[in-house]
Amino acid sequence: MMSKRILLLIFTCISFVGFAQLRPDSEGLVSIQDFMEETKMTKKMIPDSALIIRGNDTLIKISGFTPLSEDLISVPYDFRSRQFTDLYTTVAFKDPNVKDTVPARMRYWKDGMRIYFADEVERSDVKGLTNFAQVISSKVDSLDISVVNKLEDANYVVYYKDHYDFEPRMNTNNFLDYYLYWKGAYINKGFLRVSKERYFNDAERLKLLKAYFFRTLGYFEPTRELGCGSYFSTCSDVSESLSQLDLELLQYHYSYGVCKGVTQKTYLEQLERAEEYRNKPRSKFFVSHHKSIFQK
Amino acid sequence: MIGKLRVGLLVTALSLGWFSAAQDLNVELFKNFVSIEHAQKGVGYEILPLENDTLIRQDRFYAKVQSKSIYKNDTVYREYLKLAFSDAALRKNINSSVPIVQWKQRVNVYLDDKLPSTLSRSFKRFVKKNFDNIANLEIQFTNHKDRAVIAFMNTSDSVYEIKPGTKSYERYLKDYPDGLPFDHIKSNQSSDYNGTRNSALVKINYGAIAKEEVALEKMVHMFYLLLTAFRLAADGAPSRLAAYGYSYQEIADPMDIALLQMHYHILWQTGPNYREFKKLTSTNDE
Repeated sequence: MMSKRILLLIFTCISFVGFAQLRPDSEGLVSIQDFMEETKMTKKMIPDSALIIRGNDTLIKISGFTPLSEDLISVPYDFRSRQFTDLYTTVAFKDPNVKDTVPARMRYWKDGMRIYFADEVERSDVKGLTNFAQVISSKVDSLDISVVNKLEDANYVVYYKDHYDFEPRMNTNNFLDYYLYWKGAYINKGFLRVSKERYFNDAERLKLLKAYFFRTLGYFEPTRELGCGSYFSTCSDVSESLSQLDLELLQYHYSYGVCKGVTQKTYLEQLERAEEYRNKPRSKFFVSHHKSIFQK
Repeated sequence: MIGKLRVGLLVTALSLGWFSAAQDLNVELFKNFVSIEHAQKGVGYEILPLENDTLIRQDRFYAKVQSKSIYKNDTVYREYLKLAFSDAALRKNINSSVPIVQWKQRVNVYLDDKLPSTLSRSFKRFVKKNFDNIANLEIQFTNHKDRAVIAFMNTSDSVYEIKPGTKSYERYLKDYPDGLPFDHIKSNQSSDYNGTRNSALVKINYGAIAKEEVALEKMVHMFYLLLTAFRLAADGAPSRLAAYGYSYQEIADPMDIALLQMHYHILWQTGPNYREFKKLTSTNDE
């Protein structure tokens, strides 16, 4: 069931342009002359298959004025600066394998995170990480994070090494590690493990927990481009709270103004296409999502 | 139109600023974004507009080193370059990104109470006697492990890095018939790419070592390496802490202390790499 929904998402998360000054008829048709004037496209650029001949008129159907489908919800494109999207591309598209057989894709929590802290986790770690998660949840739309008391209610477990191993697939040699499960673009289960023996300093351990927890909010790829302190850096010595840049990168990751769950290639293609319409006051670029991705 | 022209000129000016910075080399290796509110006026390379702020990229430059006299001792300086930087950087004089690694905070050390108290006392004595007056390096002992940044923990488990029976082990045994310098003691530590040393866990199998003076030698040796992140010299004199074949001396070799002083002479916000360090500490212009 889940895999069918994901396929649907990938194919239906489309982008399109709406033109404010064109006046399509009830079928969404406009004259080819008006269309070319608006888009600065030449006739050669428009495939014959897109043209509709009605009597002496050559028309073209404009999408966006007529609903693409009742199952789709359209949202204006979330335009950001090139520097911002370059940074986002660096951190959001982690290549899951070195052989490059699976394309890098952005991944996110659709159904919210329900965190369970194992019994051995120190109160200071529970409190610190919970506060951090709550702040993030309050500032990022469509990312719900809660803490649960029962393991069976959770989809995310925080625990210490050398105690009960909730996720044996994690590398046994790592003192700090996480493991995520996903179906397509949706992350649906996560584990975060730290060795209290190795990270014996309370303040440092909490910092590391926060840094690694943050990475699991989207299967992020830390970068050395940013200074230590950023949650997107590879450093352990991150700041107490998120910087505005960190926060906005995360908000953008969860924004419906871009196609979600797409591969890096698709994201960049769409970015390029959207860029053409950024400064055209009479046109508007939309992304259209299947309704299912809004449902919990 | 005028507004666009202004932006264009600003971008061009910022780009020129960036290129001159890149050639200058004395710039830290990663991008530093500052809120426009706190940005230094008239400095910056690129603008990063956010939804709720505007950031200016102001990569940090290393400040001019004011007091360079310490670098005038050519023998110590050359030895320092050899130990503080990677082989590749030294051989090819390349712009290796490996920075100087330092403790940027007070070094709180915890000694496991399962270690013999006389051993702990000897260790503390050595540290106080030899490392007490190093500028920018503050070492304290603590009874609270959860507040320490270096913890020496006794264990009955094997801590071997090089396992007995392997070729490497046999090879080392030829050089060190009395045992490897780091037999039965092992540290786990990490550093960030800005050169900040993070906490270190040192496991020591005191039961296997059995002799207090040998354990002390290993602990002192290990501690010096944790403070400096130096590469060990294979050909150093036995009195040298920065040598593989270190043999315990109550008073540390003056060269090792001089190296430690040089290492902490400046507490770098971001540790410079080999080329930057050489440029920053050059005494030719004095």
